[in-house]
Amino acid sequence: MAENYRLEVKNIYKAFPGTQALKDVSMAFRPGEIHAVVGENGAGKSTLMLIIAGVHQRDSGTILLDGQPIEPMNPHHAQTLGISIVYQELSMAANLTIAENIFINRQPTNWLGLIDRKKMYRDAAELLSILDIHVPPDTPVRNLNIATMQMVEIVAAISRKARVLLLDEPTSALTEKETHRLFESLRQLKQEGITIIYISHKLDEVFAIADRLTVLKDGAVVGSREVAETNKEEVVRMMVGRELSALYPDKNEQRGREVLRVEGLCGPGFRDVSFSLYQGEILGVAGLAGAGRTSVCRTIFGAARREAGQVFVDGREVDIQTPQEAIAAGIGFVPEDRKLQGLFLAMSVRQNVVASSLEKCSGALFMDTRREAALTEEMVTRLRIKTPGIEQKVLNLSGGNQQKVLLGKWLSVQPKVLLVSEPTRGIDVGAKAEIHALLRQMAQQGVGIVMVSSELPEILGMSDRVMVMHEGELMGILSGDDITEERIMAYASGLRNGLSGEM
Amino acid sequence: MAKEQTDLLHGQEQKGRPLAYIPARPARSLVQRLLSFREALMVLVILATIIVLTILSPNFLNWTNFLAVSRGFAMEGMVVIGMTILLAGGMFDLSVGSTMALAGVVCAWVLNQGLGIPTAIVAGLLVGVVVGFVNGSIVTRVGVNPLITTLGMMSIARGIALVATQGKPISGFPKDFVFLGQGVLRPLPDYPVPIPFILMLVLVIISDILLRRARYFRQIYYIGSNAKAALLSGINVSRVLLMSFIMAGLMAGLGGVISTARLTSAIPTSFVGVEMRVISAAIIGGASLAGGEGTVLGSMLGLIFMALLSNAMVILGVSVYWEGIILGTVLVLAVTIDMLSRRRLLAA
Repeated sequence: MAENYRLEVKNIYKAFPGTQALKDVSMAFRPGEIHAVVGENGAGKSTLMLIIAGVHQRDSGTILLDGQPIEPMNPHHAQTLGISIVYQELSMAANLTIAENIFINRQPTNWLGLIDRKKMYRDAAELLSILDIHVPPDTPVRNLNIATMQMVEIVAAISRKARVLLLDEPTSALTEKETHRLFESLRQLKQEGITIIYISHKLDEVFAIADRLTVLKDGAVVGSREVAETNKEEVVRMMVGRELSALYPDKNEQRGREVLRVEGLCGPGFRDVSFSLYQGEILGVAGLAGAGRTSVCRTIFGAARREAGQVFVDGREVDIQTPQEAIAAGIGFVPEDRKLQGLFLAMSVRQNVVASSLEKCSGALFMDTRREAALTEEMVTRLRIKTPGIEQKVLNLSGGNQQKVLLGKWLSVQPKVLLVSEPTRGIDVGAKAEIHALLRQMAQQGVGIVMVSSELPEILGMSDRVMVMHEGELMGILSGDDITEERIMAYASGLRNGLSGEM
Repeated sequence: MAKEQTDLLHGQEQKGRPLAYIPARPARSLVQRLLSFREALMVLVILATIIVLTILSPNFLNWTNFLAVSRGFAMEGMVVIGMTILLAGGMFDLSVGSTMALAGVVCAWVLNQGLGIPTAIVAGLLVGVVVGFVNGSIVTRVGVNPLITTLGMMSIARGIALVATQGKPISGFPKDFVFLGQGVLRPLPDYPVPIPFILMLVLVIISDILLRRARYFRQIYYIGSNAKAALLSGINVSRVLLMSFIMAGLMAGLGGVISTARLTSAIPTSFVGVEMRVISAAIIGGASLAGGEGTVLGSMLGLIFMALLSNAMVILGVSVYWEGIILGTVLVLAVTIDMLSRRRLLAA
């Protein structure tokens, strides 16, 4: 092909002990294109990006930038070559200002060699205006919302004269509105001829923003497509070899008796929430970020202060002040941030699974290692947790398996009510389907499940009923045929009366 | 809920999805596996040190030397137990040295009031409990970090001891009390074993087993590993940490009381720097300031190693001024080796 590529990788191989992360990977990226790289977790996307950005070194293969072979030795070297990466986890100094972050390590200096603050702030303001960011450049980064932080990182990358910009899951923490803003900026950068390599799990986004996409699976390239010439079903097939329609388990037709009733509950960030939850039911909780959805769960679970209202389990009022009391009442809670709030990363699968069942796995004084192992083995088999053994550190498992470990922890205590927040955030498509099947199975076993999710397809695909919140207020509970994307979005945007005509 | 849950997921086929990659652990040799246990490694290092010292000096491997080393060692051995518990929970206590001094002073004062030996001992222990309770309450209820809290307490406890005594040692104790610190048992006629050493050994064995196996102490490791997750798993984080501070205080109190008996006087200015030695020993033995790790056995081995090095310097006639340099180097080296081996494991 005589086409001029900005960046090419050819026959890249990379092995980590025990895994062949990349096998003969070749891709080509044009100038001024947004090229999505998609694939399940563990498909090798991040490894490839890290190799291009100089964080990892490849075992073999070549990297060509504008036709010239390059050897990115480390991230700094890659930057000087014009390749910048914006990581999934933001990596800025929170206490420094925007300008200081943009010019970190290369602040403009005056004749004394001191930092020329005036010039630095002036230059920063100029850069920010390129992406339409109207925040004073002397704002400390910790005061920004995540979307703006992300933009600032991108601005920093551009200011380093990046010609290739690598974005690793840039929207994982963004709301829809913020995502739109980011996309605007990316299109603008595209116009300027910058090549953007975009890694994402979210196919909707890929189809909204990318010009081309390449699918990776198990460390090898499955194929590349022009976005205009393909569809989501095909891409999902390429990723997992399965049709999209098979992703969600069947819903529950009949529900049992009421297991949880909440009346007039008020807590941090929400007020006057009342609802009932029935055995065998999955109650989806939809709403935009900041609507107070997770806060409701935390308050029911005793992890946030209940300011008013009553909670009933099995028809009996319970006064829950702490998580212990919630667990004793039969309530479990899977927090949205797996790594920060859910898991004991440096501990083993066994220790994580039994964390809430210590009494069950011990005698009067001592832990019973055999009972711990038996319980864990049972969960590993039942939930199909892929791990070399129950003594493996959870740190070494994939996101999907980590989430299963968390579910196993709660399954072990046999709760009546399980509150789950963002059960599949950051998990690849295949594992997502397994988690969904699992939640449905738990419901079928009689557990009432409250599922908070920011992913509308998940809400639509999983929920028997949907409760929608907007700025701390319960807007309504939808069931049956009323569960539509339009209704949920209208409620979530605060339009209680917007649909009054049809209600 | 007596539901049949065993068939959960039964029959859910995987629909052609290939198994995700499980990074297979490369098979490890026996030696590697042994070395991965910090305690085994420590034992090897200690044995090697003993062999070298025995070759270098005829004065090393004899009972007199053991007696000399074991007495001071026993007090720190008690304190390191409490510190290990705290470190496992992601906390630490800088006030243990001052607490020892204050406990000793209070114990001595009660003795000299003629209130009896048991009362005096209880009073000394109570000092430790109160200090631990105050430390723990400030850290867990108010949320001040343990560095500030216990650093402050280190000054305050020392200050109280100094004010109460006007800086002067208290002495003149009954013989029975002194026996606690200076007495020996003779399991074999020619080999007397100091009582503090026996006491320490008993406490070490009990606490090591408890920390490894008891349900209550397992909670501490969860807290040290991830306090937020521990809270959401139904562990009463505040109460368990408060208890840990109290146990650390109690052990320091005990160390202070026994030391007072051994030295036959309560010296308000003594035990400076014990906290650093004890924290160092625990960390050399596998504990981490980040929490979630550490065993009493490991900490003891760390302490033994440090004591061996100090003793070696005495025996080999190295100036005592070298001690700080050598112990500091060992501490940093131990943590460095640990970090490097972990990094290799993580890369694997």
